[in-house]
Amino acid sequence: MVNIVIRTEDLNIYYGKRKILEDVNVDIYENSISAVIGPSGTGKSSFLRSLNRLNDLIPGARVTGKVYYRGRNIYEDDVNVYLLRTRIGMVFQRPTIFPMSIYENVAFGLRINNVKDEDLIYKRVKEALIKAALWDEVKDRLDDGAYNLSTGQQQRLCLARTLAIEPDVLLLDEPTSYLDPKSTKKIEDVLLKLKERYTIVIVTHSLNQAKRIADYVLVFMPDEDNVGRLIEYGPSTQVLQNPVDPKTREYVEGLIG
Amino acid sequence: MDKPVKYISMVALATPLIILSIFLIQVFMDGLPHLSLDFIFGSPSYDPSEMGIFPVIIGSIYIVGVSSVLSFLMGLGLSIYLVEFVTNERIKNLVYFVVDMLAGVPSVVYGLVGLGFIGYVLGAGRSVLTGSITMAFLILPLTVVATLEAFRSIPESLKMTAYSLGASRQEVVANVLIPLGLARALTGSILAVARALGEAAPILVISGLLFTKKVPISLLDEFTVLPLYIFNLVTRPQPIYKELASAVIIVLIAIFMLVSLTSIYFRLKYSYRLYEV
Ligand SMILES: Nc1ncnc2c1ncn2[C@@H]1O[C@H](COP(=O)(O)OP(=O)(O)OP(=O)(O)O)[C@@H](O)[C@H]1O
Ligand SMILES: [Mg+2]
Repeated sequence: MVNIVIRTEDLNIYYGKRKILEDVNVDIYENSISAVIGPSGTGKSSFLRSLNRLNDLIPGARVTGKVYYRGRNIYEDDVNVYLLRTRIGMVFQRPTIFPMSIYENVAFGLRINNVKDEDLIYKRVKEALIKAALWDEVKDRLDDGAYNLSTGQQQRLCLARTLAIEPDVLLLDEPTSYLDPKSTKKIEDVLLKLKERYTIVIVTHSLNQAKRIADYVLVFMPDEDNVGRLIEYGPSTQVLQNPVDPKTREYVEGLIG
Repeated sequence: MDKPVKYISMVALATPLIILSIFLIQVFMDGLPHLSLDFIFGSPSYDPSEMGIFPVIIGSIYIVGVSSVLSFLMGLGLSIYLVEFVTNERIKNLVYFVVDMLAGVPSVVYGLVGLGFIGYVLGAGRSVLTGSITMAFLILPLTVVATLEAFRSIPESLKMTAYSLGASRQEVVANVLIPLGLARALTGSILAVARALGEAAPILVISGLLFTKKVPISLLDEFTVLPLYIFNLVTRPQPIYKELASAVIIVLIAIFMLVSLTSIYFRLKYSYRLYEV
């Protein structure tokens, strides 16, 4: 029996009056990689942000419905969103690097969360860099500015920064879309390893990437009114090779063939 | 570019530069012979040959220092509030409107309101305190613009990253906005310092002193400032006073250069790249 980590019920997302995502009902399973695919502008990023309530910070954004994280609806009033976001970490499309050293970039989340013990911080930073497969490349220059890293390394640094605060779920929004194939492969290998301990949701534009790493696939597609909908989801092999929905079939074949 | 347009713009650019240069050369020729340590560290005197301007220099530095710090803190607070805490566009626009309006008020009005309210109603008198607070409000539009610009230049993505790591608004202010924006906010506010250094009208109203031998020590002491003293000197008929005025202008320019150089130093020291996303 696989545990459900996140479950959405009739999740709708609006920007102002405009609805961009309608009635998403989906389960995200523990220790798996779920890939979110679909055309541009169908609300994939918005969906991801609704899972850690980062949408709260976007002016005009509104979410209705329910999102259960380990059984608890995160949109209830008494939920501590700050704590929630330390449990559900996020990595963005472009590397977001602070003008600080490599070490301080990874330590950033720990410091924000009031970890004061420098030995503990060092331990967590090192572990996180090892998990993100970056330690060997940076261990001799932890005090160098993080801007000097390559884009691929910067993205693994962002992953390490998120891992350092020991989340439970990782949300990744097209983390490899600015990376070359080699750096992409590195991140994919890291994610495949991380799923043994984390639950991962990744938005991707690459069907091949979904094929390579995803256990489950969520397909978002606009309807006649240009509102995004989850038209299909299930195990990766089934959705990608034997889709039920004709639109999924079209999308999958159109992009691959 | 069209030749005539090019020449016209060159002339347009050169004219003020030439006029300014002639003026500066005149000032330096008149003023330099009068500059000495006795002049800078001495007290004002009715005898032009014994004239010093120390209390006036201190008055200027005092007013500019206190008002800049006050104004910077107010601008910082207001900008942080606007950038990170106000989501209602109407309130934001109202604040911008008020700040714009403050910028359009003639400076002598600040002097009158400052003297009336802080000086008489609140009882601070014609003091350094009254002058500084008034000046702080006078330059507030400039510090607000500078600090706002600094905080807005911080990429949204870095703030989002901090939030995604569990930061509260206060923590984003303390760990992202202030560390990444402060240097730029400070250097941007130098313009405001320069403005405070050069203002004469509101101080004329508040201090009323064209002449003082007393070095202001306490915030409640009376004072006068360099621009006012220059005004005092040039209104006298004898040519010697015009030369002394030039000497005071040189001192004022020197202080101004010092402020600018400090700002350039900080800008270079604390500049770093911020990726725009
Ligand atoms: N802050 C915002 N304010 C208003 N509308 C927005 C905002 N962010 C996104 N939208 C709109 O919501 C829709 C969904 O955007 P979203 O970024 O979630 O799509 P996406 O599937 O991630 O697209 P992409 O593949 O291009 O990243 C788009 O039409 C977009 O224009
Ligand atoms: Mg997106």
